[in-house]
Amino acid sequence: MNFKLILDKNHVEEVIVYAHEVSETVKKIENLINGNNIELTGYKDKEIVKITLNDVSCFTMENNKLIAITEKGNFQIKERLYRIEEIVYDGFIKINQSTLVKRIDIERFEVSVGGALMVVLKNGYKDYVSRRQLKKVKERLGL
Amino acid sequence: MIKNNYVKQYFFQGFLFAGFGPIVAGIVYLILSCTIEGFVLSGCEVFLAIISTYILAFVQAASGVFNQIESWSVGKSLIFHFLSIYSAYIGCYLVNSWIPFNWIVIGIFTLVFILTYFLIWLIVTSIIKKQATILTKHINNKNR
Repeated sequence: MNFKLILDKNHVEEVIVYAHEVSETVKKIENLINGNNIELTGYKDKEIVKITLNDVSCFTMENNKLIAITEKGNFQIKERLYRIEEIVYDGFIKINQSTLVKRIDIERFEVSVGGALMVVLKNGYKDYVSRRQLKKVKERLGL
Repeated sequence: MIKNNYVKQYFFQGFLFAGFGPIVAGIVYLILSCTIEGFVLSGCEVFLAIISTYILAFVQAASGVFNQIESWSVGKSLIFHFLSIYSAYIGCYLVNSWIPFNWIVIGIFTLVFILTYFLIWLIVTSIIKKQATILTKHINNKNR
């Protein structure tokens, strides 16, 4: 499959795929594009907002509640983490039992003073990579 | 993670690995009985060793939680981690008479403990740091 990128600020951003069949690659592209447009309902105090996966850098469990960390703030999502894991497909990586981080939002990895491997996101959010997930994280990053 | 979760995690990790303590004690006693002629232990000594090594393994495993509390400063995490492990070890060694109650001996034990703790920390940190560098390099190349 050939890849062609046209940078044009006057055109609506869209992805058009010419393919012979609905292959794995086509499905991946579809999930990547449509997946980011999936809308979730976020709750913050009395505020209810619609957020898309595009807005979310990270999903994490806090006090048994699923929290979506976005640029607009942190919102509670009334959904199970495993359900979100199924929805987000390839764009997010599970780094420990209670956290999913967006792959493209990872800024760097660092070591905590206690010897834990930490993920630092572009928004400054930090969380640890559990030993159990480390192998999968490496695989997901293509290592 | 909130405070309650850390407490839960502390006990979960502790109980998960505590059972390994008496197993290690058993192996050590087995080696001693095979190598030292006439090595015998009283029932009381064995009981004390089982209980104290269980507590030792519990504290050792559970103390890892101190390093996961992000709201704590680096120094505070390290001090809590070190003190909990050190107090469990020194208590265990003194109760079982593995070292005599003598301030010079306790001082030497403490010094060796600090040096070993620092060495282990240095090795673990450098291994993870190497891993972090590789992952960061990889993610930067991918995002470019």
